[in-house]
Amino acid sequence: MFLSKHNYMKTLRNLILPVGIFTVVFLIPHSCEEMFGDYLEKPPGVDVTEDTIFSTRIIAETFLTSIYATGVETGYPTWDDWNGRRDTPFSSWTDEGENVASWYYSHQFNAGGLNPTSGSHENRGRWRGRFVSLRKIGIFLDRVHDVPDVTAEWKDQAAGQAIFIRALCYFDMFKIYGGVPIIDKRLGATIENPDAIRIPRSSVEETVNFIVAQCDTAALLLPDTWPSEDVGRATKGAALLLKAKTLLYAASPLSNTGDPVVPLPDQNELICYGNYDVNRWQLAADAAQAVIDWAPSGGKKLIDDREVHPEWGVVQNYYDAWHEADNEESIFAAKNIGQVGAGHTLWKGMNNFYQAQGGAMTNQNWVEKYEKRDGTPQTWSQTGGNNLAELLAELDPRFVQSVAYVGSYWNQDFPNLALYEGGVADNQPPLLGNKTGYWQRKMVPPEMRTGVGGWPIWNILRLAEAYLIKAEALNEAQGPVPEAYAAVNKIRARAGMPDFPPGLTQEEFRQKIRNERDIELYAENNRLWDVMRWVIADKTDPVTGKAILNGEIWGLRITKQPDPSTEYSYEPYVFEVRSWYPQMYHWPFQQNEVNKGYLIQNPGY
Amino acid sequence: MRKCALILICIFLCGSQSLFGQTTITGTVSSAADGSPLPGATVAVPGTPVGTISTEDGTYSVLVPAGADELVFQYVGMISQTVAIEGRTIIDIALEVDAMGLEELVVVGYGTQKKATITGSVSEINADVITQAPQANISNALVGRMTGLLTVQREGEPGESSTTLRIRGQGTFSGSAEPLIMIDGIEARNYDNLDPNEIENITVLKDASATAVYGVRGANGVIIITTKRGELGRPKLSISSNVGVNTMTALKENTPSYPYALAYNEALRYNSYTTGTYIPKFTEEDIELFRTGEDPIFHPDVDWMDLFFKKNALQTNHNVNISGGTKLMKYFVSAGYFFQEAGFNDDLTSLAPGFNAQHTYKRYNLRSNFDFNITKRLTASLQIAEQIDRKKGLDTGYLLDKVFNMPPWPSPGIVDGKIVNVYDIYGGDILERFLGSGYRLFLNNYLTTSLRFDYDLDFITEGLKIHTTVSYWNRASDTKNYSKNVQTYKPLRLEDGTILYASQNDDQPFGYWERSGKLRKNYLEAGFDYNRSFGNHNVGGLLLYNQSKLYDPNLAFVIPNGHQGLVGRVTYNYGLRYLAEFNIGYNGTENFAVGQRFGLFPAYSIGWIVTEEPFFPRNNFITYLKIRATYGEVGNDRIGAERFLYRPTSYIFDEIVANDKEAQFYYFGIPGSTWQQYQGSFEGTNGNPNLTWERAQKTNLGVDLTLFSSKLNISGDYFYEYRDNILAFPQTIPNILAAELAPQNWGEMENEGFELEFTFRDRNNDLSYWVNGVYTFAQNTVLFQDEVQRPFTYQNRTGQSAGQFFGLIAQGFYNSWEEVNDAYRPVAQTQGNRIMPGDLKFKDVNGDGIIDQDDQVPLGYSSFPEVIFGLSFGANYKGFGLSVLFQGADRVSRYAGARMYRPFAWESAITQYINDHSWTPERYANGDPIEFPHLSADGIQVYSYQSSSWWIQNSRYVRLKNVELSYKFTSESLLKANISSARIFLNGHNLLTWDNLWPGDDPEQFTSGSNYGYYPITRTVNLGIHVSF
Repeated sequence: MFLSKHNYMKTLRNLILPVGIFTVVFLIPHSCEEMFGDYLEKPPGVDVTEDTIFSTRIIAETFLTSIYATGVETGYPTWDDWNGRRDTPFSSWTDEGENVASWYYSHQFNAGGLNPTSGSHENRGRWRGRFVSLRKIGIFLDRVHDVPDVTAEWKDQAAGQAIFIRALCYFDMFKIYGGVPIIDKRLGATIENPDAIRIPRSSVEETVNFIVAQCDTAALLLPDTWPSEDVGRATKGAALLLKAKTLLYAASPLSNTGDPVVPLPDQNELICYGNYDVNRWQLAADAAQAVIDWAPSGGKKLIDDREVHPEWGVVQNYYDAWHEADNEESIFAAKNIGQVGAGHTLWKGMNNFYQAQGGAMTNQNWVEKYEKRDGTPQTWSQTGGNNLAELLAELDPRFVQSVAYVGSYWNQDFPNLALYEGGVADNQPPLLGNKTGYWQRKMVPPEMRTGVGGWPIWNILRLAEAYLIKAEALNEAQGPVPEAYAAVNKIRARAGMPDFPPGLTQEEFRQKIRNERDIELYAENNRLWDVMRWVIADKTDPVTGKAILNGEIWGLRITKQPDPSTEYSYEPYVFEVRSWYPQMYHWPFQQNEVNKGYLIQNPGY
Repeated sequence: MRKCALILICIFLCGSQSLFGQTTITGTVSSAADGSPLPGATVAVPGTPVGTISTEDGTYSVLVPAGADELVFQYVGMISQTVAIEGRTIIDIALEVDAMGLEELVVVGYGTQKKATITGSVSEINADVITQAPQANISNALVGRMTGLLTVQREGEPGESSTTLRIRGQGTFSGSAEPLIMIDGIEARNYDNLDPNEIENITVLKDASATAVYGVRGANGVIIITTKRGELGRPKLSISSNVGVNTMTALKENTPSYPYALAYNEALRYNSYTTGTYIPKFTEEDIELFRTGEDPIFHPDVDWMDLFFKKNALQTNHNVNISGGTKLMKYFVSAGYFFQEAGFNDDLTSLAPGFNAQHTYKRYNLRSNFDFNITKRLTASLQIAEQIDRKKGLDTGYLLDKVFNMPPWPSPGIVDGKIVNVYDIYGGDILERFLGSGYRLFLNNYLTTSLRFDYDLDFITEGLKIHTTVSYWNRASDTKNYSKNVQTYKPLRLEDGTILYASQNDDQPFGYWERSGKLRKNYLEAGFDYNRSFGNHNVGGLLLYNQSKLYDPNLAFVIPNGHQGLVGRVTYNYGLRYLAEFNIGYNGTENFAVGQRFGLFPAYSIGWIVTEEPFFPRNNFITYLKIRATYGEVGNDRIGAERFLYRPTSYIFDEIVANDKEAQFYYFGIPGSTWQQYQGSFEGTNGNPNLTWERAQKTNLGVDLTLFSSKLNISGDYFYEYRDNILAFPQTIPNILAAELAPQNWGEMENEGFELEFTFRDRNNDLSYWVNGVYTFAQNTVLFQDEVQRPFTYQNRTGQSAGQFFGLIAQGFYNSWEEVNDAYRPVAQTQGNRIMPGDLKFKDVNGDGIIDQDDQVPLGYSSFPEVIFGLSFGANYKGFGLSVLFQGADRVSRYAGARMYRPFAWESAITQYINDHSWTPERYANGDPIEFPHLSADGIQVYSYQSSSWWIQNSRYVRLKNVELSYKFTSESLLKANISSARIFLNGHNLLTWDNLWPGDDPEQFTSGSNYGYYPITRTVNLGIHVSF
C-alpha cells in the first residue's frame, strides 16, 4: 500500500491526533529508558537516624528526656502507652483505701482477681513498658560517648541518670515479680534469631545485686544537686536511697528466706534467696545511713520548720512534705505530667469534688491505725458512738494532713465537708458514693479548683523513708538499739508525735516501726509492696486487728447530731470483703508472654 | 522513544486506503417480536469505517462504497445480522431478541466483552434494582442481588449506614480486604454517595482472570460502576421523587425504676456472696416511691429511649435528569438530592433555642456525561460529577451508649422545659450531653472530572483503536463545630415540701471552630484496543498504560501516593466455541522499596461453549452450556500498615509525630519558676527493606447453563484462593526486646467457596414473571501468622478462620448450692472461685480441674458471614409490578458482650427481657425459661460473663430485605400531555427479620462496645413517583 497523493492531506489530518496523544502521554513525562523510573516518588529520606540523635547535646538530651518519660512511673492514675492503665490511685489497691467508681481495676484486684490472663494488673506490671525504657537506656549508654559537643562531666551525669532509671525499672519489677531477665544492653532487633532474645529470668539474688550495682555506679556518676532548671533529674542521693530501699526489700521475709509462701519447685531462687541471712538487714541499714549522711551535701533535710495550718490547726510539716513540689525532703519525684486542671482525666478516681467519677476514699481499717497525739491507741467502738468529731480530732496530726473527714476543711469551695447521711452543704453534692466516711486528701492538691490547676508531681523517694528504712533494718539486724529509736523518733518529732516508748522488745518495735512507716508513707505507693515483703497481706493488722488485704473492709455510717451539737454519730460497717491468695505475693507474668517460652511463671498460676 | 514514534508514523502512513464509487442504501430497522421501529440501531459496512445509526422511526440511510457486499445491523439486546446487499438499495430488517444474551456486553476491566465469550467470573446488576432500594448508600442496595458479594451492615446512622462488602469473603487477615472500586474506568475512593439514578449498572469482578489487569490492587476483587450515558434521540426528561420514613429495626426495652430498684438490690444481694456484705442501694422507702411514682423529681422514672427517639424519621430523595443525543453529541445530565434524618426526638432540640442538634445527612449529586463524535474516527467523552455530603451530628456512638444504658431513676429528665439533674452517675446527664456537646457539620465535596478520547486506527489495521483518558479528582472537606453549654438545674426540696430548681450553670453563647482539608488525585491512561475476526478466529487485545497520584495540596510534606502500571490482555476464540484469554497487570506503587515496587500479575483462562459444538444436538432443553477455568495471580498493596516501612530505622524527633504517637514529654525545673516541658525523641519502627505486596493465587472453575428455551439460566462457580505475603506483625518475639518491629510479609491464608445463581423468566400473555436466587459461600483459613504457641493446640488461631470466636463451653447453670459446693466441680480461676447458683457451668475442656483461658475453644464462626443468599422474584401484569427480595446470612456469630447484656455492671440500665429471664431460685424452681445468669451489680461477679458459648450467638438470619409494588400508567392522555411514562411505587427495605436472637437485637448490628453504642439499623418504607417526558 502506497501513499496516494490526493488523500495525503487527509491522512495527515488523521495522524495529528494519535501522534499528539502519544507524544503527550509518553514523550513529555518520560523518556523510554525511564518510563517507570521517576513517576513514583523517591523514597523519603530518613531524616533522623540514631546518628542524628547523638550528634549534638541538645538532641541527645531529648532522648534522655524520653527515658525519663517512659522509665519514671507516676503514682497518679494515668492511662497511656508507657505508664499503663491505673485508673485508681494505688491506695485503692490496699487497705489504705477504696474507690467509689465500681468499674475500676482495683476492685478486681481486691476480689483476688490476679491471674495471668486478665489484663488489669498487667497495666501495673508494665512488662513491656519497662523494657521499652530499658531498651532506650541501652541505646543511650551505647551512644552517649559519641556526642561530640559535651564535657566528660556531662557524659557521666547523663549516663548516671540513665543507669539510675534502669535501677528504678528493675526495682519496680523486682517488687512485683521477684527475679526477672536482666538486660543491660540493647538487644539486636531482628526476627531472624529469636532465640538470642529469649533471655531467662535471673535469680532474686542476681536481680538485687544488679540493682545495687546500678545504684552504686549511678551514685558515682551523678551530682549532689542540679541547677534550678534541671531540678527533677536524678541525684546521687536518689541512687543511694533507691539502693537502701532495694536492700530493705531484699532483706525482708518475702525474699530473705529459704521457704517461700508458695514454692517454685527447683526454681525457688527466682522468688527468694534460698536462705535467711540477718546481715542483709544490716546492709539495708548501712545503705540508709549513707543517704542520711549524704543529705546535707544535697541540700536535703526533713521538713520541720513549717507554720500551723490555718484551717487544720496543726503544724503542716508533713503536709508540705508531700504537697510542696521539690521540697527539701523530696529526693526523687515523677514529673511526667504538667499542670492540669480539675477536670483532667488524671484526677478521675482521685479527686471526688470536681470530677465526680469516682473519688478515692480512706478505709476505717486504716484510720484506726492512727495513734492519738499522746502516742496511745485511739479507742474505737465497733458498735458505733456519738463522738466521731472528738475521736478524729485526737488523732496524730498527720491524720488531718492525709485524710479529709466530716466537718473538715477541703478548700474554699468545700470548707466544711458534709460527709454524713443526707449531708448537703455549699452546693456540695451529696455523698457522691462515699462508703467509708472519709476522702483521701493526701496527693490531691487542695488548691485545685475549677479553672485552677494542680501539679501532679509524685514523690517516689523522700528522705523520711531513709530514716524509716534505717530504723526497721537496724531493729531486724541488731534489735531495738538506740540508733533505731533515734531514727524513727526523728520522723515522729517533726510530725508532732511523741517518741517511741523505751524498752520495746524487738517484736514490739517491729510492729510499731511498721505502723509508723504505714502512717508516714500513707498513699505513696508503698503499702501494697510492704505487706507483700512482710508477708502479712493475708493477716490482720496488729494495731487494729482488722483485715489487711484479706477480709472485711470497714467504713463508717455517719449521722449529724441535731443542732447546735457539732458532733457526729458513727456506726462502723463492713462494705466489702476482700480476697488474697497465697500466690499473690508474686504477681503472674502475662500468659501470652510465658507462652513465648523464655519466662518461668511464678508459682500458683 | 522518538524512534518508537517514527515507526508508528510509518505504520499510519501505510494504513490509508482509497475510496471510489458509492451507492446509497436506505431502509428500516425493526424488532422481529412486535415490529416496532428500533431507533439508534447501528448499520455498518464491514471492513470499512462506513456506517450510520437509525433515526427515531427506525429508518436509515447509508452511503456504501463500491465493492462492499454486506451490511451489518446491530442493536443492544438483539442478535446482530449480516445481510448481503446483492445490488439492493432498500433493505428492511427485523432483528431477533437476543434471549441468550449472546450479544450482551459486560463491563470488564478497562473495557467491555461479549457476555458469551467471558471466561472469568463476573456478576452484574442493573439500574432498576439499585433504585428499588430506598437507601442512602449504593452498597446497601447490592445485598442479596449478586453472587460473590458477602455483606454486612453494622449500623444505620444517617451518613454512616453503608454496608461492608467483601468479594468472595475475606482473603487477608491483616491488610485491607476492601475491594477496588472503579467508576467509569477510574479508581474511586468513595462510591457510596453516588445517586442511584446516575447508575447504569454495577459489575463485580471476582476471579484473577477478571482482576489481573488491576495487578497489585486486584486481589480483593473489583466493583465497577458504570454511570448512565445519553442515547441517540430527542431529549428525555426524567423526574423521580421519593418520600420515606425510617424506623429502627430493633430497639431494646429497659425496665422502669420500680423493677430496676428491686433488681439492683437483688443483684447486690447476689454479690454479697463474693463481697461478703449486702448493702442495698435503694431503701424500702425509695422502692415504695418508685412504685407509686409520688415523688417524680427525686424518684423519677424516665424511659430514655422513649424520650430520645421518635418513631419515624424522614427520608427524601429527588432526582431530575435529562438525556438524549444527536449524531454529534450525546448527553446525560442529572441532579439529585437526598435527605435523611436520625430518629432523635425533635422536641428535645427546642430545649436549646437556635440550636438544632438533630443528626441529619444531606447529599447533592450532580453529573453530566457527554459523548462527542468529533470526526468519524475520533470520539470524546467528558464527565463531570460532583457529590456534596453534609452530615450533621456528633459523638453519636457515645450518646447512644448513654441513651441505651442510662438507668431510669437518676434524673427526671425534663421538668417544665428545664433539664433537671438529681444524681450524678457515670457519663453525666445525657440531655446535657446531647445538647451541650453540640453538633458538628461535616461537609465533603467530591469533584470527579474525566476526559477521554477514542480514535479509530482502522486505517492501520481494522479493529485497532487508541484511547487516552485524563482524570482529576478533588475532595474538599470542611468541619464546623458548634457547641453550647446548656443550662441545667438541680432540684432542692424545701422544708415545706416545695421543690426549688437551682440553676447549675449559665446559658453560654455558642462555641465554634472550623477546619478544612483537601485531597486530590490525578490519573492518566492511554492504550490500544484491538478486536478482529479472521473467519472463525476471533482475536482481541488490549495494551494500556496508566498512572495515578494522590496528594494533599495543602500539605507539601506528605509524600503523594503513586501508582503506575501496564495492562495487557489477549483474547482468542475459535468459532465462539473454544475461548482463551490471557490477562496481565504489571504495576507498582511507591509503598515499597525501589527494586521491589513493580510486580507482574498474569492470569490465564480457558472456556468451552459445548452447545456450539457441531456434535451437540440443537434442542430446546439445553440451549447454552459453557465451562470455564481460570488461574492467576493478583496483588494487594493496601497492606494495612504505615507507609515506607521499608526504610531503615528512623528516630522520631518531631513534635507533631511525637505528640500523636505517645506521651514523650517530661518536665524539669521548679513549678512556678523554672518549670518547663521538654520534648523527647525515640526510636521509630525498625525498617523492613523486603516489604512487598500481598500475593493472591486464585483458581476459578465455572459453568453457565441455559435451559428450557433460555427461560432458565444457571451459573455456578467454585473458587480457591491462596494468599501469602500477608503483612503481619511478629507475635512470638519476647516483649523484652521492646523494639517496634516492622511487620513482615509472612502471613498465609486460604479462602475457598462456591457461588450459585439461577434466574427463571417467563411470560404468559400479559403476565411476565421472574425468580432469581443467589447463594455465596466463602470460608477462609489462616495458614500462618507467627502465633505464640498456646498450651493446647485447640486454642491456636492459626488453622481457624480470621476472626474466629473463642470461648468457654457453657453447659447450663449451677442451680443449687449442692452443685456449687460439689468438691469435684472445676475451680473457677476468676473471682477467687466464689461462684454461686445461677452462674454458668463451664466445661473443663483440658480436664485440669480449673476453668481458665486454657478451656477456651473455637466457637461458632467469625462476625462476618460465610454465607449470604438472596431469593428474589417479581411479576408484571399490565401496569402492575411486584418485586420481592428475601436475603439472609448463615455461618456467622456475634458476641453479646456489650454492657446491655450485663445489666448494672457500669450502673447501667437493665432490659425488661433480661430482668424477666435471668436466673433466680424461684424461676428455677418454677421451671420458667431462664436465659441469663443471676444478676450482679457493679461488675463484681464477672465469672459468668466470660467469653463463652452462652454469649457467642449464632446470628444467622433471613430478612425480607426489599419489596416494591409499582404501577405504570400508560393512558393516552398521558401521551397527550407529552408524558411518555409515569410510574408510582411503594417500596420498603429491611421490612421483616427472622433470627434466633433476643428481642431488641439486630443480627447484623455490632454489639456495642463498652462505651459505644451503634445506631440501630433502620427499616425504610418509601413512596415514590417517576415520570418521563
